[in-house]
Amino acid sequence: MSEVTTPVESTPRRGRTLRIVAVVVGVIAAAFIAVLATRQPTEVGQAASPLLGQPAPQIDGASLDGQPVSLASLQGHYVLVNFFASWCGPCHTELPNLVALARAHPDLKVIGVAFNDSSTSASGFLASGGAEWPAVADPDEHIALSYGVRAPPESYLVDPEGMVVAKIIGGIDQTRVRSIEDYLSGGGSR
Amino acid sequence: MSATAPASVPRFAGRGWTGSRLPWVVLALVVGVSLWAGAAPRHTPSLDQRVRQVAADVRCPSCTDLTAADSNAPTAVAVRQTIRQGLQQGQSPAQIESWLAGRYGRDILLRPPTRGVAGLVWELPVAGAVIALGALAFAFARWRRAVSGGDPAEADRRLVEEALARSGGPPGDEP
Repeated sequence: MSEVTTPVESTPRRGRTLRIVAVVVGVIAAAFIAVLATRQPTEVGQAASPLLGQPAPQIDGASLDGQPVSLASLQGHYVLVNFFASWCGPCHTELPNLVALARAHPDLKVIGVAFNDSSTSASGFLASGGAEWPAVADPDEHIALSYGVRAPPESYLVDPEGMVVAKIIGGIDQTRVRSIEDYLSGGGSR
Repeated sequence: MSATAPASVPRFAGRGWTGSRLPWVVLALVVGVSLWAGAAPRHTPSLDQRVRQVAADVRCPSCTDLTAADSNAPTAVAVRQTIRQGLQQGQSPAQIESWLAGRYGRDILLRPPTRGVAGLVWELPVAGAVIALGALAFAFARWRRAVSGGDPAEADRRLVEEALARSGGPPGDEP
């Protein structure tokens, strides 16, 4: 049987095909928009990290003044692991807030990790701000890499079980201080 | 000049299945051998080359639009050092990339994953190509059937007659 396509036959058929293609494209576009629109927004002051809910990477070594430092030895306390550098402007801004937080909450332990900084500059920076917590050098940036740090200042809150519960990108301001205090008081913005 | 086949006679007409499909078989062979030759490793890469290969698929953590292979930022240097240590310890590139993704998230990797929704990036083009080739084959077969399966002149005549009948017939007497 011969099959001859005529303009009279092909026009409605082509129109139907176009409608089907348009509907398929429309459905895909709608699904794409729905996926983007329903994504969880990142909370202000806290950042997403694959480490959240995971055991905190170990920090073991000597502090800038030669004392032994071990994150594992601080289990049972909340620990704030703070990545900083003396050349970093926001680190200068956050230091007074951190010092005040540490003084107000003796149960909160702070460990500083110098990011791409010399030991002399880093310890001088901490001393000038009145920081009394230990800080370690990270000459090959291995600690920074194991925490997923991109640039200072970044801080990670580790709970008494040794799990990372919060990642804070940027300097710690009063809002973030309150957020950390929520964790310390048992509330936490989990 | 020697005698050549008339233009209307297909070049491989009368040579059977082998003659008509020989060009396609040769084409497939050439493509297959080229792909195999292009993909086959020419030599065992050194450790430095392997580090660079893996680092080229990793984003520099503290840079914009640079790979860990191309940047000298401290974090990029640290990534390269981690890759080197991992390779020296016998880890595969996938294991090293998985470790980095477990710290920074999957967006640290420049190559999309091959599984899950993101795997569609790899699968959709292949599926699209297969569907397009199938559609072309179907369309060619249909056109060939339409051309060889009937008498176009008769069909055209019928179309004209139908059109004339709809418009009330010809102005003059027609046999």
